[in-house]
Amino acid sequence: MESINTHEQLRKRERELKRQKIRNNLHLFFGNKRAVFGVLLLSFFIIMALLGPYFYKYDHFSYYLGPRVGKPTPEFRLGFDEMGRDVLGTVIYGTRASLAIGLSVTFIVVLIGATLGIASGYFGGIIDIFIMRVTEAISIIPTIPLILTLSAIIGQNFQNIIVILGVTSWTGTCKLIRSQTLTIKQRNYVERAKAIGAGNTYIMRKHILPNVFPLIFSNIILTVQGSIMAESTLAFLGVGDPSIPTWGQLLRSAREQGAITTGSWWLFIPAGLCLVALASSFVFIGYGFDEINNPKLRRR
Amino acid sequence: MSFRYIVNRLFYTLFMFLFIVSLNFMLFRLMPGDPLTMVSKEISSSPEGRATLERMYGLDKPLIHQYGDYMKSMVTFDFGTSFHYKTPVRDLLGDKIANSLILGMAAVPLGIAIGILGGIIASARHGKTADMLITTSSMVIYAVPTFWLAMILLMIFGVRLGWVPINSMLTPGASFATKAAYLKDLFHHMIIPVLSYAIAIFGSYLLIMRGSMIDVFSEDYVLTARAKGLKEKPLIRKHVVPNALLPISTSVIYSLAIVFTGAFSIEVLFSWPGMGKLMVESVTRRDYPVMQAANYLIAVAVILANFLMDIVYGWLDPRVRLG
Amino acid sequence: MKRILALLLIGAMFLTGCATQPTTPAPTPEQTPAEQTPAEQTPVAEAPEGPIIFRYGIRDSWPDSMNPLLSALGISQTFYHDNMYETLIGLDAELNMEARLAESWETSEDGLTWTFHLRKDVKWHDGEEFDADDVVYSYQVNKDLELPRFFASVKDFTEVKKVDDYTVQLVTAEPKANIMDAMIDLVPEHIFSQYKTKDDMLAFANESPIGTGAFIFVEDAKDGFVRYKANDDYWNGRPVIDELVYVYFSNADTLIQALEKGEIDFCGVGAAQQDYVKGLANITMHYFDSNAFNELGFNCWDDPASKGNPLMRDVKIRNAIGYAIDYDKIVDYAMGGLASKQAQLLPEVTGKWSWKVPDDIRVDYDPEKAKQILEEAGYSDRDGDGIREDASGNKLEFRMSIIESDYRDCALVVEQSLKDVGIKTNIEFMDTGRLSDIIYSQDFDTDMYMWGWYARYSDPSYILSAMTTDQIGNRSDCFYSNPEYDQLYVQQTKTIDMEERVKIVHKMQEIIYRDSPYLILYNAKRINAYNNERWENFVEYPAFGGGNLFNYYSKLQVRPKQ
Repeated sequence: MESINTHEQLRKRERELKRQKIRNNLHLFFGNKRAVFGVLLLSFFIIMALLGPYFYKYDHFSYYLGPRVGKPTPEFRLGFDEMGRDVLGTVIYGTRASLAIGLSVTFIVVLIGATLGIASGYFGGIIDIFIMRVTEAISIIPTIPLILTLSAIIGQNFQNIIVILGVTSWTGTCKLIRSQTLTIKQRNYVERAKAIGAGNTYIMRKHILPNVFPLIFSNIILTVQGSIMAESTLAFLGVGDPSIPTWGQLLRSAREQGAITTGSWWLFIPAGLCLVALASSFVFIGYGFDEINNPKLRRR
Repeated sequence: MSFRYIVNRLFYTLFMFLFIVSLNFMLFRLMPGDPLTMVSKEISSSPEGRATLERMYGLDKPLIHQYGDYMKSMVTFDFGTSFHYKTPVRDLLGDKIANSLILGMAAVPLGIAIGILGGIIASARHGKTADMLITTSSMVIYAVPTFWLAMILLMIFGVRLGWVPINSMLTPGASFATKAAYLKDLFHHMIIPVLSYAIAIFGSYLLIMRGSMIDVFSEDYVLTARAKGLKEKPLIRKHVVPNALLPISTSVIYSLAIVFTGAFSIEVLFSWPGMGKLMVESVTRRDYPVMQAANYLIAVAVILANFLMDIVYGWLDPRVRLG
Repeated sequence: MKRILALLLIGAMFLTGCATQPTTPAPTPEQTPAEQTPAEQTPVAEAPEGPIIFRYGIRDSWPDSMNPLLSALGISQTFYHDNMYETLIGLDAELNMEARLAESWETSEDGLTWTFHLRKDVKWHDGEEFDADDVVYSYQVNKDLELPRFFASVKDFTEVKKVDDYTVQLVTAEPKANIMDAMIDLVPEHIFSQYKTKDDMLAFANESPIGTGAFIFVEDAKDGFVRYKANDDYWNGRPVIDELVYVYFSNADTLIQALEKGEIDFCGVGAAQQDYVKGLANITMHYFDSNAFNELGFNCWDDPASKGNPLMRDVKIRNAIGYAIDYDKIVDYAMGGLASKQAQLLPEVTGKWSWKVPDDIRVDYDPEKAKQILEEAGYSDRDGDGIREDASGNKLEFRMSIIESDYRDCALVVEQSLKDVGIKTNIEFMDTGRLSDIIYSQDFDTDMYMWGWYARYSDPSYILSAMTTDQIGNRSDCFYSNPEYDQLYVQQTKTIDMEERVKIVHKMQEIIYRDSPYLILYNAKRINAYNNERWENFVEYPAFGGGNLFNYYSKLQVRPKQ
């Protein structure tokens, strides 16, 4: 008769549906005031990271601009740290480090977690058992001593810290992706693909991966937040790279200089507030995605 | 509970155990430097003296031999002597674990309780302002770095207001004539750390509980109960909360089981002499016996906690054990 | 049913959390020592009636062994051994020899035999008599069992002889001028001799130490505090105070707070707290030069196995670096003012041993001079990238390995200073273990590093030996080798005549100064702080550089304010 559903038309229909779904989700997302606020907050930090250097000159290696842990002056609004560096500059430029770390570590986490998680969930059997055992073993090792040990072995410069954080944090994401893969594996289109003889890699790439991601968006966002926090904790402990300005290092200076007792608030209040604000923005966004995925969480 | 299930879990546990234990040993030996590097500059070192020190630490034996000693000590729970403190590791750990427990057993149940209660309240008012406020503030507090939170609280209550001491666990060097005086001093020192710890952890419990509650609220049987005319409060109490607690009961058990491993951020900042702080310090000092024993205990605790989690969950949720 | 149980489970945990009050207190509440009145001891600000207790607050790592023969950390001396154990001869405030357990002594004509006449009225803390058996045992056991702390100090003695109950002779093969290096803690033979083999001794923790010193051990709560009481029968007079307590703090804020509130009486103050403590009326601060110095060490190892940059062995570059560094910035910023620029190997506080650098060869901050030296040596920036190269194009680019927790800021100052004169520094931050590994186990795979030493007041030989060839792989961390220096070192250990010896020691320091295997960056200053409403009569020791107020003499003399 008339409309024989050709492959062409099917595909077009699928794309349309997908677009509509994305539109719906965006609608939902932006209806969530908190998530929107999170996006705005995050944008603020991104802008600060990208455009900061154009509006505010700061060199992490120009010392002695003021007295040691000097009070704020009209020219240097947030005072000085123990090397006489401009704290305001450190705070502004610290944004870049935080974002860079957050994104890089998350990239590694997702890379390892997704590869292992999808393989584990999809193939099942002995592969699954093996991968899961390894994952579990690594997740059991206490994190902080492990990180300290690793950084003592390979050094604590910026790149190494990213690698170390990535390599120690992927287990949660892996488990999550695996469980999502198990669910998706049952779905129709996967069965269909198998029936027409599609290869495993193809299926994993074209069907499972794209469908897993929306479900783990929330987890990814929270991983970014988590890695930013982890880096600041490490910097606070002294496992950091002093040649890169980060908020965690300001807080370390604060502790070393006894900022609480001497009242050098500029060392720890601005950096801490930035950490809270940036992390909160990720949390808001992450939970915003949760609400998209789980309709029950939306406003009644 | 099927026998097979338990046996299965048991084997798995054993395998994990052996793996972790061996990894433990290897990892620390990979670290550059050894305990002697800490002291090499201090004493009038001579090659003979150094050799004696190596003997004292048991570092002069071949690696295989050390591994054998290590495995034996893991089984007999005789962890040797700390390189740094020169006291038996067992006693040392006993002390530190007790201290971590004091802090943890006060803070963790508190944090969990606040989280769960908050989650219940927020979910009951889902969509309304109260919910928005509670949830948003939990999210923000969740985003606060633990050590920064502790610093702020310390500054407000310890320094500015002078209400509480900002030192470790007890007033250093004090002797207490009565038990009451001791407890009073301890309590004084505990307030802020416990508060910081509880505040740091309640956020995620609140959000998860809230999600769980909302899930349950949308279930059919709740609709049925409402249709039957059940009032809101008894409904929540008898039907919604118990079911909502199920998914997070496992994480609660897990958290409590590993409480003795010490909340490292809090302990370091408050100089609370617990396990977390000990572990960090012994890594820097390359105090192998302590590091090995501590990691071992933690691994055992986590594995046991996992095991417990599986069993309890299986018991609580009929679907798992019968399915 | 299940749900109720689940709720109960959680509820129970909550309740246990609330109700838990420690039944196993850690540390255990101590019994008040027998001498004290049973009145409640409250550690607060009012002047305690009853026993006079002096509380010293300390913030450092916890000491290691209570067995003075096994102890490897310097901090253990402060906490434990200095209070309970003594040596034959000590040093007075001018750093001249002073009698302790030996009343008098003499050297034989050939310089090979030292004879000590022991004090006769000394008792161990458990009542036993102190006599020559104890001395002979103490020296012999360290040698026989190769015990870590003192072996190097006693290995030169070929014989340790008991002449009679109160006379001992130490015999050497060559004249031994650095006899002060051989002043070891004397231990009770009647207690220690039961541990006959090496393994027995290594296992002996000595938890109830018995010494001859001014203070008797009472208790030790690890990571908490150590308590001593005064020795009523001390041969040098009973201390004025009744009790000495060391209280351990793990961070500086709590330490200072405790001082302010009167919970402790005396402590050290760090750079960050000095302004705050200055403002406290009831606390007096005392600045002094310590015997600790820190240096920039260079990889001077010219063995083919060395992985260091060969350019580092050019003494001109090292000299230039000496002029390039802005020392004032190190003192002001990195050290918060708690340092004094000193460049000779033995700091001024060692008194006569310290060499005064003549003005004409003094190295100070002079970047222009540094650049000049480098240019004349053939290092210029030929490609305009800001880094100098030699004639073959090798860049002046060096690695610097830095212990993050100790030298971070100092390293940053040096990096900047070197950049200004055209030398590029690549800093790698790490911990102590890794640095040690790099130098000793990885064939010295770095070019520069920073470390520090404590120069002993007793004798210069220890520090001087760090530059000798045969300490490479042991104490030497720069792997410097100079036959003339080595020869002078051996000579000064044998020169009994003090004036002669001092001359040699000065010459050695000059060699080091010119060759710069080390660039001494600064000599650390420390701050004592004590409660001036409660205490008075401290003694400065040594008499050079201000002197530390917490020392052997102060402990005997300090008394409550009248």
